[in-house]
Amino acid sequence: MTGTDEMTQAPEVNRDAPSEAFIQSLRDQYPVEDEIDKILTRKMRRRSGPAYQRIGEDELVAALDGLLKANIQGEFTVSDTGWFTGGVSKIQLGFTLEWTDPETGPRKERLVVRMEPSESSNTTSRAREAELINLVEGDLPVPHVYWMDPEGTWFPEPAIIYGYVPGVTKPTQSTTGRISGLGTNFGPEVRERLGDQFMRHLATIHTYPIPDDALPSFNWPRVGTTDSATWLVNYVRRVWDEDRGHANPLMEAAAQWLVDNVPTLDHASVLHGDYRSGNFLYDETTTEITGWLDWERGHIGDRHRDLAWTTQTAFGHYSEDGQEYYVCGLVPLSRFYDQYQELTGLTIDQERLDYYRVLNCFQIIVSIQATSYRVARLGKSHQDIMLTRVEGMAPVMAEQMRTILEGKI
Amino acid sequence: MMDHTENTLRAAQKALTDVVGPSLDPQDPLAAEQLRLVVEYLDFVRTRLDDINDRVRADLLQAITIGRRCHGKLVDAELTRGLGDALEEGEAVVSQIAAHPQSMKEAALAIHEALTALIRSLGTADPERSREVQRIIVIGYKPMLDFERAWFLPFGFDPEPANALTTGEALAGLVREYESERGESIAS
Repeated sequence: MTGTDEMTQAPEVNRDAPSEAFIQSLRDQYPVEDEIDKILTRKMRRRSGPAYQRIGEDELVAALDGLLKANIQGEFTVSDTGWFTGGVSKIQLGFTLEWTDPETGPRKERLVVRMEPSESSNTTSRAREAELINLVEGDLPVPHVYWMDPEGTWFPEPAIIYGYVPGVTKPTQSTTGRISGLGTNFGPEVRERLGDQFMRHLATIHTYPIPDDALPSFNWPRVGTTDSATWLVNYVRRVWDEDRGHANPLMEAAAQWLVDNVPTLDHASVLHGDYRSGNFLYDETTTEITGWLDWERGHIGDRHRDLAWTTQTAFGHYSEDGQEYYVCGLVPLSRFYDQYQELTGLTIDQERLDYYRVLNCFQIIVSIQATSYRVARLGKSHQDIMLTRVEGMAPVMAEQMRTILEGKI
Repeated sequence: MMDHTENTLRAAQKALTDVVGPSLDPQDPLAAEQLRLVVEYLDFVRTRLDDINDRVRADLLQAITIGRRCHGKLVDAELTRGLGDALEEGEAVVSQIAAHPQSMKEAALAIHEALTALIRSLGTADPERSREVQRIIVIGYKPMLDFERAWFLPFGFDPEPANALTTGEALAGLVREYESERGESIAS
C-alpha cells in the first residue's frame, strides 16, 4: 500500500454511475483473484443501468426453456413451478423437469433455478459455486449441478440449475427449553446428532484434496505467503470503496490494521465460506444432513477464515442452563476446536483466528452497510427492503470487530 | 401545529395490513413477505421518529470528539490541515441550537472523510502514527456504536439485548465524551 491514496484526493466519485477511470483505479489498487475481478468489474460497469424489475414467473420459465433447449436433446416438460422465499441475495424458482438423460434414460425430477438479481448483497460467481460443488460431490451431500448460465446468455442474469434437496434448515416444530442467543435451537437430541455430522463435514471440506485442474475459476494462494489473506483483504476493501455510501473512520482503521497484520498461509484448504446452520438441509425423520448449500463465498485459503466465521455469536446460542455456548446451535464451543483438530490433523492458531474474526466482521459490515445500501438505493434487487433491514446488524458486528481490535492495537 | 406523522404512519400500517394484505395473491409468497417487511419497517420508523435528530447530532458529536483527539495527538499542521478545517466547521454547526439536520450530516461527513484521508495518507509509511490514530478511533467509536445498537435493537439482531443502552443513555454518553474533550458545556 502506498503512503498516499489517490482515491481520497480524486474528484468527487460517483458510485451510482462509476466512471471507467474509477473502476480501473480500484482494480489497480486492490488486486484480487481473476474471477473475482471479473465479476466485480462487471457489477460496476452495469451499475448505472436500470433498476431491477421484478421478473415474472413466465419470463423466467421462458429463459429456462431456452437454456434447456440448448442443453437437452429431445423433448422435455417443465411443470409445477414456484418461487422460493427467504433468500436475500438470489432469486430462486423450483420446477419439475421431465426429460431423457442420454446416459440414464427418462427422468422426472425437481430442480431449482438460482439467479442473481441485477446486483445483490454479495456479488459472486456461479462458475466458482458450481466448481466447488462438483469437486466435493460424492464425498459430501450437496445439490447436483445440472447446467449453468454463467454469463446470462438465456437468463437476465447469471444463473445455475441444480437439483432440489429435500429437508429443512431448522425444526418445523418448536423446541422446548429457553435459550439465549440468535442461533437456531435444534433441541438437545437433534443437536447432538447433527453436530457430529457438522464437524465431520467441515473436516472433510478443509482437508479435501484438490486436483490441479479441478477449480479453474480459482487462484491458488501460495503456502508460505500472504496471498490468501491479501486477496481477501483487497476484496473487502475494494467492495467497500465501490459500494459505500459514506466514509467510516472505524472501517478505515480496521482496514489498515488488516493490511499491517496480514498472516502467512500454512496450509491451503478448500473453504465453504459460509459454513453454518441455515446453510444445510436435514431430514427430520433420520436427522441426516441432506445437502450443503450456498457455496458462493467458497475459495481456497486459510481454514481460520472458516473457523472464525462458523464460530460467530450471530449463529449460535447458549445452552438451556446458560453454561455452554453451542457453535451454530450444534457443537459445544468447549469441544469444537479440539474436535476439529482431531478430525483434520490441522492446528488452530489463536492469532490467526482473531485476525479472521476481524476480517469477517469487516466483510459482513461491507455487505450490510455498503453493498446493501447501494443496491437498495439504486433499486437493483428483488429484496431491497430486506437489504436495508439487515443494516441493523452493523453496530453489532462493528462492536465485535472494535472489541478485538482494542486488544490488538 | 403539532406533528402527526406518527399517527399517519400507524394509519399506513393499518391500511397495508387490513386492506392490501388480504388482497394479495396467495400463490405469490414473495409479495406477502415484502408486505410484512414494509409494515415492520413502518413500525420501526414510528418508534424512532422523535429520535432522528438525536441520531444525526450523535454522529456529529462523535466525529468531533474523535477528530479532536487525532488532531491533538499528531500535531502536524500539514498532515492535519484538512481535519482541522472540518473540525472547525463541525464545532460551528454543533453549537447552533437550531442546526439543521442536513448541516449536521454534512459536517460529520466532512470530518469522517478527513479522518479517512488521514489514515490512508499515513498508511504503512508511518506505522507508529498510523497505530496511534487507529487506537484513538477504535477506542473512541464505542459510544457511537452503543447508540447504534440501541437504535436498531427492535430488529432483534443483538445477541445481548439486555446489555444494550437506550438511545437516551447512549446519547448522554456521547455528550459526556464530547464535553470532556472540549472541557466545556454545550447548549442542548
